[in-house]
Amino acid sequence: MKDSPRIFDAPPPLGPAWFRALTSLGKRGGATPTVPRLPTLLRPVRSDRARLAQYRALCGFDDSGLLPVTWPQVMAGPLHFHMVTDPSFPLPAAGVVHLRNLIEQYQVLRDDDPLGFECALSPAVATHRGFEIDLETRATREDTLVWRSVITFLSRRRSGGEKPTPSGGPSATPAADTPPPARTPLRSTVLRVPESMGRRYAAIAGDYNPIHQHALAARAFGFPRAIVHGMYTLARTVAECADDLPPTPFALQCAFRRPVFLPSTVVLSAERTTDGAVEFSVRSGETVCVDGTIRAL
Amino acid sequence: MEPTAPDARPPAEPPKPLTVVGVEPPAPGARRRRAAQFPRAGEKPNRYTLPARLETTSPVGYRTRVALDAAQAEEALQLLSLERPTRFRPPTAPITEQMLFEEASLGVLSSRQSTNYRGVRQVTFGPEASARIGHLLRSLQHREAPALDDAAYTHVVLGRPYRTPFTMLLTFAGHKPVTSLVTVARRAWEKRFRHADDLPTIGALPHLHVGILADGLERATVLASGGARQAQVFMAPFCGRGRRDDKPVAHALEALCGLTREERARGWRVALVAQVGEVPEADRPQVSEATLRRLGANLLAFRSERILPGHNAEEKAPPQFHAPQPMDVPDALVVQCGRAAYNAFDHWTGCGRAQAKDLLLLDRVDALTPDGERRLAVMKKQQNDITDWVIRDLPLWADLPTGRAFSRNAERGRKAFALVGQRIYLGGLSRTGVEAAGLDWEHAMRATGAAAARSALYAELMGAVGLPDDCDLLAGMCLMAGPVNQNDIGKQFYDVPDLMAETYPDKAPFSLLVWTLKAKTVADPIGNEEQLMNAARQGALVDLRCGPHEACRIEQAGRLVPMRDRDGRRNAERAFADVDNFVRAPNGEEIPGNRGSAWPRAWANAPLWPANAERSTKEVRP
Repeated sequence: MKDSPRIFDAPPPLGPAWFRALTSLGKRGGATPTVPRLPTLLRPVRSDRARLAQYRALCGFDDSGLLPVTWPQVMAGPLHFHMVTDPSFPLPAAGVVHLRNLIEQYQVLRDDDPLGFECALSPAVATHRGFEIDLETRATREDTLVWRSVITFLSRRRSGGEKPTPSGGPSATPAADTPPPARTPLRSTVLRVPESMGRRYAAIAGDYNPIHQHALAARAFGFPRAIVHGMYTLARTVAECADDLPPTPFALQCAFRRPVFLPSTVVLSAERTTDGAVEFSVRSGETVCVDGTIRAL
Repeated sequence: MEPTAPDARPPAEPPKPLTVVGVEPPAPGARRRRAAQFPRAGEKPNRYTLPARLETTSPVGYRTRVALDAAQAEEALQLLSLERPTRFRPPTAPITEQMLFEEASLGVLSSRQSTNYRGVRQVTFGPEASARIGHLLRSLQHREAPALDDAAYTHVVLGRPYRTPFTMLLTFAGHKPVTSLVTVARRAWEKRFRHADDLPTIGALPHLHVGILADGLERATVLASGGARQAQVFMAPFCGRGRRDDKPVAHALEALCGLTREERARGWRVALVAQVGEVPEADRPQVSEATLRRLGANLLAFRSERILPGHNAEEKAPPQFHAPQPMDVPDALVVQCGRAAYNAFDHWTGCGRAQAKDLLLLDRVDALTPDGERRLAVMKKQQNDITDWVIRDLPLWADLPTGRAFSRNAERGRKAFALVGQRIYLGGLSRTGVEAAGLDWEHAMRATGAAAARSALYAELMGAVGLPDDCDLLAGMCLMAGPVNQNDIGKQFYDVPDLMAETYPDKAPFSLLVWTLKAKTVADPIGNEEQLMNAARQGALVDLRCGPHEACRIEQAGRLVPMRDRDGRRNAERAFADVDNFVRAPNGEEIPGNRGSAWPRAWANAPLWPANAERSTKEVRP
């Protein structure tokens, strides 16, 4: 188990990681895979301006000079991929599904800010669908923590597992006896997600997971069609709700409940609760694909 | 009327003031609402159930009327009696994209009624180009008002002939059995290449629409700017005699708008020009910001719906549509509608109010009186006879191979052109009167459109005054040209008299529009609105409410940029959404997508013409 951090001066190249991802397809992990922490550091880097501009255009963010709250996760993407394709990572990297995401932004981030990253994995939790693993990322600016995320992803397994257990993760739903807070509708808009969106987002974010690329590739992993990246849906939602975001610091948490198949037309709705939080959902027909909350810290 | 220097004209007669005439709501027990619900599981959606979602770039959406109290209604009436601005002052604040969007939402994007014609588009020029356009306007011979300095921006509206599936059908109307092989082809050729119309009233429709837009644009400017800006609208130089005499200027404007040869061949021409500028505080209407927002939201609600002229309760309609509504349009309200129309006609022609009453012919058919009932019966029979004759004379060589599609469509006209309603206004012009007054005929038609729209708007506004929570509306109106077009088929091909011939035998009446008023508390089925909003429902047969990128272009740094089409995004914002008058199910559930989503604020709040904004700011700095 590796506990000494691996340190990068620049985002690690994706080619070798992809090679490892392909060769890891046969991994099964056993009944209770032991996931190493794999602490990984990236020394401060600035955003690639061209890629950032493409990201903004694709997801609908304003070019305001402030980094989109979801962008640091894209910056850390190569680190994440490097970690889950590490030979000591016991599960196959290709085909993992993004389940939940928590992002906390503590300070306003500007386009030119150099950000350093620290990432680490948490032990796997077995569920009826597979193994859930948390990947925590902390971004620092001049050694000050300015941003943090926790990605919960699922490595699916074919055989049935234990019964679902309430998740204590970042997007745990409120207890059933909690009355839903009164809401003020903020927006409701129809978004078209074209078939090519998985490939277009991958070209920017570097996440070429086959389930996002093409229906045929997605079928190999048990999906009837290709699905869009959860982080695209989330970024699109945040961009759409830009006017409703609370001032920094704030926390954004969401659950990717059902995949958004490609192509799709989805309805994004956002409401403000009495406590000032913004609750959002992305639905495809009657199915809630993504829901979450944006709340001041 | 010879062209006169506008600056030398006598001051216009002030409009006769309008007063608020509310409609008494029925007793609480007799009030009904549409109360449309989402279809239950397994239930087939129909025109009475809420649409599953709204996917549109239009700023309108499914909207409900917003109640106005008496004071707000009084304030609102100022916007039905706007006078032309006499001066602009240099803008004190930059014009943002959001301001223009809200203005366009109430103007070019929604001023039309429920007609299947999308025949206008707007190009907006910034201050520098406006100064050049101002010079062009000053050279016009038929300008009806002075061109003003310091315009913040200028709209040039382009229009095209009225061409729809209905006009295609008209190509086959009124032919003789054998010669139809030749006459149909000739008429089709003339229509396509010479922009000839089958009927005079079809040729009138674009002018009516331009007039409706002109009246709406004046109000939209005030509403979207919180009263700070007003529009100086020029229509006369771009129609009839004005068009002929001022052709070089019109061509220059069309060139500025980037009108292509192909578009010109399809009949696109400049239809009106509106200079918009900031007016001094003393010249502004005294309307509070809150009332302006409520009015804006209401105007969108009026345009989101298609009010049908008559009682429309099918058997399958929910009970609220069948319940009798013991209500009547007050006579005083009908009188005020007429007054609003005469005011508007005077405003747009400058002929004076007394002469407006001679030229603009309004014929009240009151279905609640014995004489009105008799007249309505005569007119209905006449319309039915015309439909019979059209179907009888349709060339079989065209009708049979299409599976009688033409005759089936003509048959549908019986319902579409039906004359029903409690109070019906026929509106038109006196041919002899207009000629004697020297008024340009096409200009007079435009003024008639404006008059009808203003009259109708008065009724719509009064239907929202004192609106109780348990009513959708108190009065509504339906403005339509269909019955007049049907009558015109009779006039052209079957020697049928004009609809107003009985009332105005000596004035050579020329009917142009019909508007029917009715008092009720239940809005029409939401399926009627869905016809306007949902492309999947009716396709090209109705005028789907268009998005800003389809009808508006903005000149920026010499380029014409579609409004709200940027970086792959198109508008999803509903204008005046802050008033929150969106249709909901009785349990409060919203139609997904109906509320829309605001355009990115950084883009919306950015000044459109920053250089000018800086200069203007410097100019006004002490």
